[in-house]
Amino acid sequence: MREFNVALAAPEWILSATILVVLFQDARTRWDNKGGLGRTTWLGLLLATGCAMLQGWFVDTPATAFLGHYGVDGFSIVCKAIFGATALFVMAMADTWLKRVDRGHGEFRLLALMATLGMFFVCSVRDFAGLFVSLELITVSFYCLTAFKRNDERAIEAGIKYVVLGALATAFLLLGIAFIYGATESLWFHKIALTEASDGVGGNAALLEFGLLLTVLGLCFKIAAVPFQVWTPDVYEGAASPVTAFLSMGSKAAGFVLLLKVVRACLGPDGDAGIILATGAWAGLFALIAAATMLYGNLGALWQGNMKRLLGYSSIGHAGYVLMGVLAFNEAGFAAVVYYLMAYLFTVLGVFAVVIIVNGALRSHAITDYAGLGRKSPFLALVLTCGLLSLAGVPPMAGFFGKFLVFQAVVQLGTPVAYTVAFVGAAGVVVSMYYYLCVVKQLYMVEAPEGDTRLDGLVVAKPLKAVLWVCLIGIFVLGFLVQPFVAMAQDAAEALMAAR
Amino acid sequence: MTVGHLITLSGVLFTIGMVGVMSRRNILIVLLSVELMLNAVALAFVGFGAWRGNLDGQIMVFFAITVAAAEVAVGLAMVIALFRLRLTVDTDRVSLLKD
Amino acid sequence: MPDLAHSLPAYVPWIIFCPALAGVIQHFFGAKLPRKGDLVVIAGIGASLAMSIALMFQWAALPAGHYFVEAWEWFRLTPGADGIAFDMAIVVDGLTASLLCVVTLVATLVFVFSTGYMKGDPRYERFFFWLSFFAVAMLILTLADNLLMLFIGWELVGLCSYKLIGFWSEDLVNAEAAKKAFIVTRVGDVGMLLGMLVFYHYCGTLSMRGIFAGVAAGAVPATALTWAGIGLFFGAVGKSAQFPLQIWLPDAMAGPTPVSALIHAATMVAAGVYLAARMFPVFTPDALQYIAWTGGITAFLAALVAFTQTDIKKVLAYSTISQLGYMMLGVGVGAPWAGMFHLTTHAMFKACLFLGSGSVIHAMHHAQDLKDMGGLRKKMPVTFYTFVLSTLALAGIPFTSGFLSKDAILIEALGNGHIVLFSLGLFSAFLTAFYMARMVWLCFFGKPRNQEKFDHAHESPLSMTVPLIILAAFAVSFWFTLGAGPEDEFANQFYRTPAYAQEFPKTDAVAHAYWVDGKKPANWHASHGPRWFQIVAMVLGLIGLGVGIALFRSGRRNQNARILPAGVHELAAGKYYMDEMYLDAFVGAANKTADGCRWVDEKLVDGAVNLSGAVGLFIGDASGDADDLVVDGAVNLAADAAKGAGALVGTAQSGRVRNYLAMAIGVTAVSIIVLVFFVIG
Repeated sequence: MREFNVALAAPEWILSATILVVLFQDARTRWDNKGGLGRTTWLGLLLATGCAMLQGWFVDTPATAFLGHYGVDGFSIVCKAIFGATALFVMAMADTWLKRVDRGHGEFRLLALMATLGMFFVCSVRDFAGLFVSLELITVSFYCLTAFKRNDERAIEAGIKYVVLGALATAFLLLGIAFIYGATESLWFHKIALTEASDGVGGNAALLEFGLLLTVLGLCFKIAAVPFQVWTPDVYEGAASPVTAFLSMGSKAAGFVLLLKVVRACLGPDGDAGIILATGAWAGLFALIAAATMLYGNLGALWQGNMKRLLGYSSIGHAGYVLMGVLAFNEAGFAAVVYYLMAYLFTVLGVFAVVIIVNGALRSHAITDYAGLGRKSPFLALVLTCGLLSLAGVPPMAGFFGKFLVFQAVVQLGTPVAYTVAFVGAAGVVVSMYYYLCVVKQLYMVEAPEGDTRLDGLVVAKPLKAVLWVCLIGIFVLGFLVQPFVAMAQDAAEALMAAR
Repeated sequence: MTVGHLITLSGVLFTIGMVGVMSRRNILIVLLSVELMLNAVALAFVGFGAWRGNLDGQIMVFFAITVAAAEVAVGLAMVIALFRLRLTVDTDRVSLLKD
Repeated sequence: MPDLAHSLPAYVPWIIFCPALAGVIQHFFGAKLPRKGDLVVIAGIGASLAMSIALMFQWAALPAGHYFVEAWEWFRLTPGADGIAFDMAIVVDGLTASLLCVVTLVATLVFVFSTGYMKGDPRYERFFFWLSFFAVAMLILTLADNLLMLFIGWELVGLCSYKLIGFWSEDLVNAEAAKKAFIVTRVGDVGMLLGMLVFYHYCGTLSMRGIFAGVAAGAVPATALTWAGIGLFFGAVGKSAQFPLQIWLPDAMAGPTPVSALIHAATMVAAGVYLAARMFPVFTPDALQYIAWTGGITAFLAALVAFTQTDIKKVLAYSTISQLGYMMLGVGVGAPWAGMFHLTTHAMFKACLFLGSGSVIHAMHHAQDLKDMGGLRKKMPVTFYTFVLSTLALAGIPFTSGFLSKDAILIEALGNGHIVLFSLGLFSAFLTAFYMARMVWLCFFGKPRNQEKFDHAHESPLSMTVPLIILAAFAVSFWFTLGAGPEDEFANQFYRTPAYAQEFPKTDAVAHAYWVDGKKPANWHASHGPRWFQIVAMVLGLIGLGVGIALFRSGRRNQNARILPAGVHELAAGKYYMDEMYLDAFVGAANKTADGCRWVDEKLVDGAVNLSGAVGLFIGDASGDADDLVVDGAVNLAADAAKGAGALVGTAQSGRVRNYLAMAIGVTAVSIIVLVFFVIG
C-alpha cells in the first residue's frame, strides 16, 4: 500500500492530459475553427474509458496508488465505465447542440472533461479528502456548465440557484466530514468501521453519527434527494439540454457512488450492518428520505407541461428508487444500485438525445409541441417512447429490471420499514405511469397543428444517431438479456463489500 | 482554551452563516454567508486536528479554502452576469424558473 | 412420488417464435408486401394454432397428472452460496394446452375477420403488426412457468392493448380511454408485483414449482400467505376488470371491434382468471373468500349496468365483465377448473358476439348505437343466426356450451356452501338472459329505427362471416362433451390436475380438498349436483329470454325503455358513480397534497424565513446597524407575515432561492434534532 504506483491512475492521467491539450488547442485556434477540439475530446474520452475498462483485465485488483489514497477495484472499474459512457454520449449530444452556439466551444468541452475527471476520481477515492475534492471538481464544473449560456436569463438563474444551494450542501458535507474526522482521528473511509469496532457505541459514537448524518444530507444534493431536491426542476429547465443530460446521469451517479462508499465504510468487516447502521434508526432515516423523494418527484411531475421540468421531477423520483437499494445496507442492495444506474444510463440519455434533437427544431420544451412526432419521425418517437416506458418500469425494458432488483433487495429485508418504503415506491410507479403516458400520447395520438412544419424532416447527426441506437438496444438488452450485466453489477458490489 | 471552545465557536459561526443564507436577499451577502459557514468548518477542522494531534485536519483546511474560493469565484461571476441582464442582485426577483 | 415431468417437445418455443417472426417481417416489409402483409401475420398465427392443437393431443396422450416442462437459465442473483437462478421456463399442462388452443384459434379467426373489417384503413399494416405483437405477448403469458416471465407477458399484453385501444387516435377520446386502461390495470399490477416479491422473500424463487414447494413446506407464514395471495389476485382484478377496477373495460371499447373481441373479451382479460387458476394452490381460504366475493359482486353489478346501455359494444363489454366475475367466482369457491372451463366456452361465444357486433357495425357504417338498428335479421342472416346461437350460450340455455360451464360454477358454489354467492350467481344468470334478449331483439327484430342506414345495410363478406360460423359452432355443447361421460368431461380432462398439483400436498393453510385427483370434498351434496338445480337454472334462463322478448316484441319499448326499478336504474346508468368517485378521490388527493405542500411552504418555510429574519434582525440590532435593519426587517417581516396569513399562493417550487434554502435547512435541522434526541440521546 505504501507506494505511489503512478501508472495505476492511467485513465485520470489521460483525461488530465486531454484537458491540457484542449486548453492549449483552444487558445491557438480561431473561434470559427473549433472542430479539432471535438476530435481531441473524443479521442481523450475514448482512450480514458477504454483504459479504465482494460484495467479490469490487466490489473490485479484490488490495487492502490498514491500511498493508498487511490484505489482500483471491480467497483471502481464498473463505475468508470458508466461515467465514461455517460461522457461519450453527452459529448455526442453536445456536438449537435454546439452547432447552435457560436462561441465557447473550448470552454464547454473543457468543463465537461473536468467534470468527467472528477467522476473518475470519485470512483477511486478512499478517503474523505479525496471525496471532497473530487466531488467539488464535479460540482464547480457543473456550476459553470449550468450557466453556460450567459446571455440567457434562465440559464443564469439556474446557475445561481445551483451555486447557492450547492454551496450550502457543501458546507453541510464539509461539517459532516469535520465531525467524522473528530470521531475517527483520520480521513480514511475504513477508519469508520475500525472506530465503531474499537469504541463500541459509546465514546465517539455521537460525534460520528452526527458527522455521518451531515455527510449523507450533503450528498443528497448531488443525487437530488430530499432535503436538497428543490433545485432540480429549475436547474434542469434552465440549463442547456446536454448539460441537463450530464447532470441527470453523471452528477447523480457520482453522488450515489460516494454514498455507497460512505455507507460501505460504516458496515462491519463481514458486511454485517455494523454498529451504527444496525440501530435501525439509520434504515428509517434512509427510508424516510427515499419515500419523501419518491413522493416529491412523482407528485411534482404530474401536472408538468415542460418536458425538461418533467424529467427533472422524474429524476428526483428515480433518486428515491435508487436510495431504496442503498438502504438495504447489503450486497444485494448495492448490486441493485449499480444495475439501476446502468439501466438509467441508457434510458435517460436516450430520452435526452431525442429531447435535444426535437428542441433543435422546436426551440421549445412544451410537451404539447411534441404532438405528431410519431408520424413525422417514427424512430425518434420510438426511442423516446421506449425510454419513457423504461423510466416508468414497464417490462421487458431496462428500467423494469432495475426496479425489480431494487424492490427485491428491499422486500428481502422483511422489516416493516422495508415493506412501507416498497409500498410507497410501488404507488409512485403507478403515478409515474400517468405522466409518462401523457408524453407518449402526444407522440402518437395527437396530430401536430395544421401548417406546423417544425418537426418535418429532422436531421440527426451520425454520432447522435449512434447514441440513439445504442440506447435503444441497451434499454432492451438490460431489460431482457440481463445475465452479463447482473453479473457485472454483482461483481462490483462484491468488490465494494470487500474493499478495505 | 479547549477543543470544546473551538467547536462551539465554529458552531456559532456556522449558525450565523446559515441564518444569513436564509434571511438575506442580496446574493452577494448570501455568498458571503456561505463563505462564513465554510470557514467555520475550517475552524472545526483545526480544532479537531489539535485535539487528535495529527495534521489531517489542517490539510483539509487548505482544501476547504481552495474549494470555497472556487465556488465563490464562480458565484460572483454569475452575479455579474445576472446584474448585466437584470440589473438586480435580489434573490427574490430571480424567479423565472418555477412551477 | 412418480416423476410426472416430461421434457418439452422441441417445437413448443416456435409457438411463440412464429407470430414473432411474422410480426417482425410485417413491421419492416409490411407496406411493400402484397395485401400489406396480412397473410404473413395470419400464416404466423396459423402455424401457432396448428402446433397448439398438436401439443394438446400430445399432452392428452400422457397419463393423467403428467406435464411437459423445460427451463433455461436466464440470470442468477448471487448473494448466497450458489445464488438464486431465474429461469425462462415453459410448462405445458391441461391449463396451458387448452388456453393455447383458445388463444391461437380466436386470434386466427379474429385476424381473418380483420382483413375484412379493417379493409381500406390507412394504417392497415400497422394494425396487423400490433395484433401479431399481442399474440406473442399473450403466448408468453400463457406458457410461462415463472412469475417474472409471466409478468413480462402480462405487461406486454397491456402495452398492446394500450396501442390498439388508441389505434384510431384521431379521436382524443380513444387516446384517453387507452391511457385509462393502461393506468387502471397497472394499479392492479403493482399489487401483483408486491405479492410476487413476498413469495420471493419467503420461497427464494419466482418459479411456480418453487413457490408451490415453499408453500407446501410451510415456508410462508399464514398471514403473509393470505396477503401475498390477495396481492397477486389484485393483478388479476386489474387485468380482468373486476370490482373495484372494472371501470376501464367499457371505455376500452373505443378500439376497433376485432380488438375488442380478441383482447377485451376472449384472451387478455381472461388472463386474470388464468393467473388465479394457475396460482390456485397458494390461496388461503381467506384469500379465496375475497376472490369469490369479488367475482360474485362483479357478476351481479355489471349485469345490471348492461340493461342501461344502448351502445351494442358497451352491452357486450358489461356482459364480459359480468362473465369474468363468474369465472372468478368459480376460482374463489374452490373450483378453478370450473372457472377455466367457463373461460374456454366464454372465449368462443363472446368472441363470436363481438365479431357479430363488428359485422353489424360494419354494415351500418360505423354506427353502433341500438337506436339505429332493428330488423336486421333479414338483411344479415349469417350474422343473425351466429349471434343468436352465441346469445343462447351466454344465456346458459341447454345444449349450449355456456349451459355446461355456467352450471359447473354455480353447482360448485352451492356444493361448497356459498349459498349467498350461489343465489347472486343464479340471479345474475337470469339477468344475463334478460339483457341479451333485449339486445338481440332491439338489434335484429322489430322495425328498423333508422331507415336510411337500414337500406344501406348488407351482409358482410366471407372473410367476416366464416370466422363467425366457426366460432358459433363452438357455442354448441357437443364439442365439450366429446368422449361422453359426465357433463364436465372436458373440464375433468383438462383442468382437474394442473402441473405440480400432485407433487405438493396441501398444508392446512391451503386445504382445497378436491384440487388433487378431482376428488370431491366430504361435504359435497351429491355426485353431480342436485338435478333440481339444473332444472331451475334452465327455467330461469328461459324465463329471462322470454321476459326480454315479451317486453320488447310489441315494439312499444325502444332502446331507451327503463327495465330496472327507478333507483336501481339511475345507479346502474351512472355505473355506480365509481369513475367520479375515483376522480374525486385521486384528483382530490393530488390537490390536497399540493395544498399540503403549499401549506408547508406557507407556514413552515416562510415561518422559518421569517424566524430567521427575526433572528437576523436581532443580530443586526446587536451589531449596531440598528436603524436600517430594524425598519427594513420590520417591513419585510410584516410583508412576509401578511403573505403567510394570506391566501394560498405559490407552491413549494416557488422559484425563490431563499425558500429553497430555508426548506433545505429546515429539513436538515429537523433530521439533526431527530437524530440527537432519538438515536444519540
